[in-house]
Amino acid sequence: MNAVLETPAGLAVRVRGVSVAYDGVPALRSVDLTVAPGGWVCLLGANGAGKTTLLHTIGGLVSLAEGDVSLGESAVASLGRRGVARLVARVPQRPDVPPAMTVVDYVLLGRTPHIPYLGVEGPSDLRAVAAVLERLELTELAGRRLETLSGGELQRAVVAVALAQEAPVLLLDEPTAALDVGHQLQVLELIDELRRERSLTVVSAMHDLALAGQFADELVLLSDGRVAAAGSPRSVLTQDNIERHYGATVRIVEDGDGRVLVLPSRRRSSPR
Amino acid sequence: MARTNLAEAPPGSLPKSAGLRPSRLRPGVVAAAVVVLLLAVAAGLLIGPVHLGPGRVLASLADRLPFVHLRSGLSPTDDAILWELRAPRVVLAGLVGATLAMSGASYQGVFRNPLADPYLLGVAAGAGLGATIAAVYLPAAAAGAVGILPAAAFVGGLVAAMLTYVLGRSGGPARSAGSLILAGVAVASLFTAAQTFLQQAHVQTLRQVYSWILGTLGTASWAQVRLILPYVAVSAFALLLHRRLLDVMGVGEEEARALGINPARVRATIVVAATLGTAAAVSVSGLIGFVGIIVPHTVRLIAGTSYRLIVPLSILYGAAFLILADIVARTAAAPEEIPIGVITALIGAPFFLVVLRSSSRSFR
Repeated sequence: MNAVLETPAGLAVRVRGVSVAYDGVPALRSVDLTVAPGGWVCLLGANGAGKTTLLHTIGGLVSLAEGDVSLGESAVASLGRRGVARLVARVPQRPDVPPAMTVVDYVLLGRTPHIPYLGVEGPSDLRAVAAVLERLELTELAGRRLETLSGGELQRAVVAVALAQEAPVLLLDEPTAALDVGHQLQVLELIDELRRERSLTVVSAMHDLALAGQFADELVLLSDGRVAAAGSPRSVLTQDNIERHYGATVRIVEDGDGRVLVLPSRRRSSPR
Repeated sequence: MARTNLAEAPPGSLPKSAGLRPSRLRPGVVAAAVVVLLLAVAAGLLIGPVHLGPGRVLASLADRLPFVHLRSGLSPTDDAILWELRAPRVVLAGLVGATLAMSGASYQGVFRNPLADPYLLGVAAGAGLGATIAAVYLPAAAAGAVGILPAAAFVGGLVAAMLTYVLGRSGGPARSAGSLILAGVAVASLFTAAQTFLQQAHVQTLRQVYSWILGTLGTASWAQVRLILPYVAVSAFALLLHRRLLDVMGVGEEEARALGINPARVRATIVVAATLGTAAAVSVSGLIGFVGIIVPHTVRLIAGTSYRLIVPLSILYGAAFLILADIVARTAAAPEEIPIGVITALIGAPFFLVVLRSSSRSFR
């Protein structure tokens, strides 16, 4: 089938001086972040460092105490819910999937920002869904209920909903947390391919430092709601940074291709 | 599952495999539901102590159409039985059944709880208290068929639902679904306690209130049909418009927001529409239980789990179900009438347990 995925033009994401507080407790403190069109920035940091909140600010899901967020030329605050949803799609950390829904119905939900509020989908929505299903090799599973999918298939279905949104910015919140190492690599490779095909701007939050360093152009290390370090994987993934902000000892290894690998290691080897 | 041959599909179109088509109402499915409803209506008009005959009933129905003049052959008494007793009763049962079923389906979607029923937000308890107040303080006015009792029940139901909503909003963060349900439980307990207190103090009203609570369509009249029709129509219109958004609500608050909708507003609209319809239905029929659970879950089993199918089909099957249940209520122990709430509970309670057992697996 020659259905062509709509290719949204890359869109820059700009976060300027953003502070967010939940019930008076600060979650982000004057954070700046710039992601070039078609780039992939990965947010790192210990639990509670503010990764998910920063993703929420880009998606317009939290109200800002200070600062502003813009997508290309438009300020998120001025876009409205549907406007933001046309520009930003997100793959949630723990997708709350309706188990009895079929894959095709689920992926169609991604078209929600394009379907009139009280209307029903049109031919262009069905074409987009068919193209996404085909691209993610879900066509064969389209009629299956979500509860019958394997973990890897379900993760593809969740990514498919976000892709069906045809938004130029893709947010990933721990996209691989529930997957084994093989499926982790598959999902991240898939996202990288899609990013290149469709010039998506990707912002992800990840715990796996080794994977983050291999896929993202740039890493941003958050600590206690502030940006503690930002830059290339080599400059951010240092023993010192990780010890200070994660409280973990690691060894940093560079492989022959110049990629940085992070290996957790115990402080002393156990007595034999 | 049917295999999809992508090579044969024309470019840019959906392959015609069953799996690739999203849930939509198919004409055959709707036609089947309409046939079931028509059969139920026919049974409701024909079954009764006086035999009317299908041919004469059909002729009499056709005679009522504009520009058609037929002699039905029904005697004036039979004609009155058909048009003043059975027909309004069938229509009222249909309206009440449709409303309870679609409201139940909508509540289940919006609260993401398979056991949510139309009385979830305290409508039943509020209507009960309203009816009791009318019976106790305005006994003369409450006695008539379209007396003050339905109006009092309607107001009571709406007051309880509004109280639940206000309490639920103040109780939880961001008006979460859970805090609304808890508020509903609290309001229902309070209103039931008040109603019991009133009843104990005025035992002479027990019989009247009790028979209303068990539900009856025995006093059905065209006046009652006219009374609730506007509310039911508005409610059905609003819920049908929101049926796709009910599916979007299935992914949870945060994802629904990320998809560009405002879950709090969608929930508020649906709750108001469903509650309005339910309060109107309850005001004329009394508390008929389980319809809002039995019908939507049966529709799920036969048609699928998308609310785009469940809401419209629940309207049709809900109407048919209550018409049939009412036939049982008035014929099973003739000439006595069994309260229709007893019939629906006899069918519904075992059904409820089945849903409860399977819901831990398939609904979330």
